[in-house]
Amino acid sequence: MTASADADLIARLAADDQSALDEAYKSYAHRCKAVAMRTLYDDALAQDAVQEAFLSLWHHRSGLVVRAAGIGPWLIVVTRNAALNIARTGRRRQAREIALAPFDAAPDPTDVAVANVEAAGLHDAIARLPDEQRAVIRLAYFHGATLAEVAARTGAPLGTVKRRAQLALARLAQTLGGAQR
Amino acid sequence: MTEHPTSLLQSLALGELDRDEARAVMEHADACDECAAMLADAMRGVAVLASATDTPVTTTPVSSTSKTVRGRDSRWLVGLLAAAALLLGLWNIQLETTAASVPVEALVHSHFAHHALSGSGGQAKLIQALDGSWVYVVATGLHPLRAYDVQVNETTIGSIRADLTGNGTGFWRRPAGKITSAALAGPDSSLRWNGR
Repeated sequence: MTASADADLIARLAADDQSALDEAYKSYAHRCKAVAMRTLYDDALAQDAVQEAFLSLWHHRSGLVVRAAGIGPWLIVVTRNAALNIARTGRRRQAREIALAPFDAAPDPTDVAVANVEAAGLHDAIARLPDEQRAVIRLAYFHGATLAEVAARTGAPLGTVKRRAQLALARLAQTLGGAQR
Repeated sequence: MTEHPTSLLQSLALGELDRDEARAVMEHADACDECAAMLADAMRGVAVLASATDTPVTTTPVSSTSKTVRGRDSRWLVGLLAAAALLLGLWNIQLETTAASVPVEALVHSHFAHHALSGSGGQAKLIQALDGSWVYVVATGLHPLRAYDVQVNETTIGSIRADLTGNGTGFWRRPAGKITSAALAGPDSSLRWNGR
């Protein structure tokens, strides 16, 4: 979707135009579903995450963040968060089953993700990040560590880790974000 | 939330907050120019990462198709044509090994033989030219977005990656010759055909 079309959708959403939500769904639902599937590997649960994200978009339709981030990035992050929350809930519920289940021989999702990043040409952008920022992205995004865990692992203060995450994400957004909106 | 939740904005973008925490931070940012700008930067960065890591990868497009396919096993032929139709619609995709497009003859039944691979973790069929000069693999019931090695005559010729619905296809040209075995191997699948 072009930036101007996106801006039009944002304006219509802010004006409570429900048809804009339908259009946003048609434009972004497939992309959001792929994001959710990466976390959940379950079609029905992924669809739940997508629905949750679009409901949330309607709830936050007139807020500043949708306008500042763009509908696509906003939906991707909110869908991913919904999927992660669903996964976390599921993990708690299934803790006993996991203890008894056979070891999952699937490839490490981090390896798969990194391989795909390289295939998509993001490798250079990540490689150009300062070492300490790249370490935060690798641990927090690809390995799923919390920023507190990143701080513990790297020995850096939590505030410093959060600052590095902010700088790294902003730099990635500036480097490559224009084509992703 | 009256104070700026600056230290939580990255945590929100990276997905480590629970729903209630995220809602509180988002509601503040929705009304605060400074926090909205910082959160938007972080969201765009995460979206860039997600755009790369969540893009399904399948195979190359086909230039034409055939309406004359008839055969013994119409279910698989329907699958083959569906896969070809899918390929027609997906131009921004890549084959992991051989960048060959699917030829028309691959869709004409009289020009190929096909063999079901049996085992666990999905269903797959090997479709081959009668002289063995190309092979086409169609699979379903795979684990979404995972890669599977394709082996012909005990040699890995490449791999396919299942799409979001667990379907995968791959096409390879190879030296003409008898195909005596084929297998599809993945983390949770083992499908095999042994020629007679």
